Amino acid sequence: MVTVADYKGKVKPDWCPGCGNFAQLSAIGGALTELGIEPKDSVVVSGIGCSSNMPEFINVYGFHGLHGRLLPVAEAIKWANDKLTVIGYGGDGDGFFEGTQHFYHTSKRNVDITYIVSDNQIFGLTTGQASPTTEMGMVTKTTPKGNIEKPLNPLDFALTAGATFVARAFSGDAKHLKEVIKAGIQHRGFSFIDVFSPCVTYNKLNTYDFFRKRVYHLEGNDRKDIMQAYRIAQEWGDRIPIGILYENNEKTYEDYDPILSKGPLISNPVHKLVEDDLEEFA
Amino acid sequence: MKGTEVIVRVAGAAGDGVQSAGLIIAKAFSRSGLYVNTYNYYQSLIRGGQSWYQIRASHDKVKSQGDGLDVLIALNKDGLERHTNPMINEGGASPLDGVAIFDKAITGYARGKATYCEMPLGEIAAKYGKNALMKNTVAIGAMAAAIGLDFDILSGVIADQFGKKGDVADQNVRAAKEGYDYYGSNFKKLDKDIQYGNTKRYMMAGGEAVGLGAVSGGLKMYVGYPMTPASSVLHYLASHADQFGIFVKVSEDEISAINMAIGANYAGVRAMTGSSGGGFALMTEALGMSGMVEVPLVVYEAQRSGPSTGLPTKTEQGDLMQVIGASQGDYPKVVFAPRNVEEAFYMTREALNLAEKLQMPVIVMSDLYLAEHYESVENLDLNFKIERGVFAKDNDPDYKRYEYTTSGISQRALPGQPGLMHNEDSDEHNEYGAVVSDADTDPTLRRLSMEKRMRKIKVYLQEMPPTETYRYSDAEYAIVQWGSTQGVVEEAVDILREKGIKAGAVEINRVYPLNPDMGKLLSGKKKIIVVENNYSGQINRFLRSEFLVKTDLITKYDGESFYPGALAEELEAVIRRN
Repeated sequence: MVTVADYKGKVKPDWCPGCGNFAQLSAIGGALTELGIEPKDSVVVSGIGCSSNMPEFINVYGFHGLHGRLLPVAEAIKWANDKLTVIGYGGDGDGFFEGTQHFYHTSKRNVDITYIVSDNQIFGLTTGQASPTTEMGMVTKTTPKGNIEKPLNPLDFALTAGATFVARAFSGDAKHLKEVIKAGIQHRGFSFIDVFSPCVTYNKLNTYDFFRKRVYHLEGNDRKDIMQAYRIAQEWGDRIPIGILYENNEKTYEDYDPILSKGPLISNPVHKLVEDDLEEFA
Repeated sequence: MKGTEVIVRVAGAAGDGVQSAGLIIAKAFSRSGLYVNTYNYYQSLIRGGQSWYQIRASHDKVKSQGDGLDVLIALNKDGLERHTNPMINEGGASPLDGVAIFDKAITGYARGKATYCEMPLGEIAAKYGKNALMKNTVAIGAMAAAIGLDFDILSGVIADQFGKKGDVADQNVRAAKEGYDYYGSNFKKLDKDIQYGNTKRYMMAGGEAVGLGAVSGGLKMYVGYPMTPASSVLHYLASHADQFGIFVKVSEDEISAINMAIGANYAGVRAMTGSSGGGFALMTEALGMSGMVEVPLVVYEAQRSGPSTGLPTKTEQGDLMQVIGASQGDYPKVVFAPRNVEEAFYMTREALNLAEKLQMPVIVMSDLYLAEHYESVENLDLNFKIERGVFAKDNDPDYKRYEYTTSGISQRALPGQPGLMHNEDSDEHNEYGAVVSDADTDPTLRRLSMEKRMRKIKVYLQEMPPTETYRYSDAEYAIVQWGSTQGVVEEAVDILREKGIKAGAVEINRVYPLNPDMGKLLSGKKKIIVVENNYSGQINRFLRSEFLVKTDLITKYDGESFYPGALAEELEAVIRRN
């Protein structure tokens, strides 16, 4: 019987007090616990950024890789051993700047992993530069006269790329966050969850208060209707939806591939070369 | 060129079927019990240009494409002139003084000193089928008659080549036979003493040998991104994925490819990636991560002429500094540079074992020449013991992923193993994998972790075999080569020896770290001459700095390989220079 305590890491998080990442740490541990998944079978792969320090703070097999590159590592771990529950966890700078092409292609490949982005709309660890989701007009260290680039819409992007589970949650709504993560992990295929995660130090615009006033739970939407999901993804302003926008069960990359569909690579026997294998060279 | 060997060249434009004709000829030689060695001269285009394919064969081992030319099959006028007229000849290959076989439609060409065998190639081909390329088969038949090759062996190769196309195979065999007979009735057989036999050998290119070596080494996943000349490994493995049960993936970029290979290895699956210099440049950050997190990794790096996009279909050894210097910071890595096709097979699988044993990146360097030219391979040892290194036992409450051991090698734990959960971190970390770079940067732990990783190199150096040499025991002049230039350098040494010059070769197939025995090997020589297929002499600089030796340098950076005769002349000039 797995308990929440099993997921407690040995290292104490060094995030700023009040950081949105704390709620996600609890939600990921809680979701895995409630799904009865043991820590030994859980892998958290991260990139670089404040949120990406997560693998140290949770008792799983953690892999803290390179900025923007968590998805290819996570995908290959799943291909190697499909008994593992693989969660990719990183920030908006990590995933939507340097990691953009991986985000796109992992979505379209529909690899059976869960990708959670702690989206604080700012660079935190590097002390407050504009990120790909920073709102227009916002003053940051790198945009002293206000950001002049339109923010990237991660939900719209994931839908276009072909992700089969697209959701959004908010660190200030812990229970809902955990339920969304649970659904994402349970979804067979690529699950993308964008989490509003207020940066209490460097983002004075998108604060807990900002989101509390605006977010509402999606209810009754047709999760299989991608056009409806696109419309929901465009909502921004006084009311901002959180919840599962889109969920569709399609064959995964692993289902299609002739080798992976036979089983995980780790249990594949190694081919022993014989003279017959060389006949084509004779 | 000896009378016991034969050199055939097929020349034409891209799209003329130059390479497939060349491969049929090479295979026919190989099945006739001859050693073969091929050379492919082509451009990065699908139609047009000027390309040629050379096949050298002999009863004795042939180590390079050789000098001279016996038979030219010219598929267009440009090819005929370029390879028979010394004034027009380009590309470093010797002009022909043997026979040139070409279609009678080619007229008004500038003549050289070759014997011009004008044949109705197109007319003969038209009798058997509509495919214009069948005239190549007619020419191949004529070539067989010119050098006394057994037609039955040739017809077997042609039948195999077109085998899947039913009637087409038969049409081609008959077309070749008419070419064979036509030549016999109209032209003279070459005065050669080629000793055909029936020894069975395989004919393989370096890229295929790397792929096959990887299979032998227990590879389960290969991930890459297309780039000449690394793609041949990707192609070989992709076309044999089912046969070998290997998962082959082309990813969105090389950064993804290397990170995927790292992810799979982390989870316990032997995986490898590969690219040419440009793609490798994109991989370098992750290469350092493999060193830092101590995840085993093998990367295949096939060099082509650089810098930048460079000459995509031309050879060079210009990436050595890039490969040994790749990625920021100090971390242990090993770089191999197999000297020939057979060694590409053995070193690839050795790299896979070594990477897991030492938990570090191992790079196997090749180049376009090695990757794409065919060589005879015999007596391949298919037995291989896969060594996975050390793993922790389940449920260790004090498990230290990066334990500071004497060897520097610590026990791995794979996700899924109970009671060994830990963090693998690209940040500097302590024995447990906990980061020492953030809240409490610890200079002592940093030092210990760095030293732990670097100690693994000592393990490698202790088990490193001695540097290999050629005709070196009494050598007064040391000719130093690395990687694919082995064959041509050995042949140049032979030429010098025939002239009474006591030269011998020092051959480097383990380019990083260099074998410490090199210092002793190079001492007391009249001259040390380093031969490299690049502009600046990259291993030359490295040798000088590591062993404080005085060297001379011979380079070539025109995109082509060295030729034995020309290289021997250059070496002799350096040797005679005061």
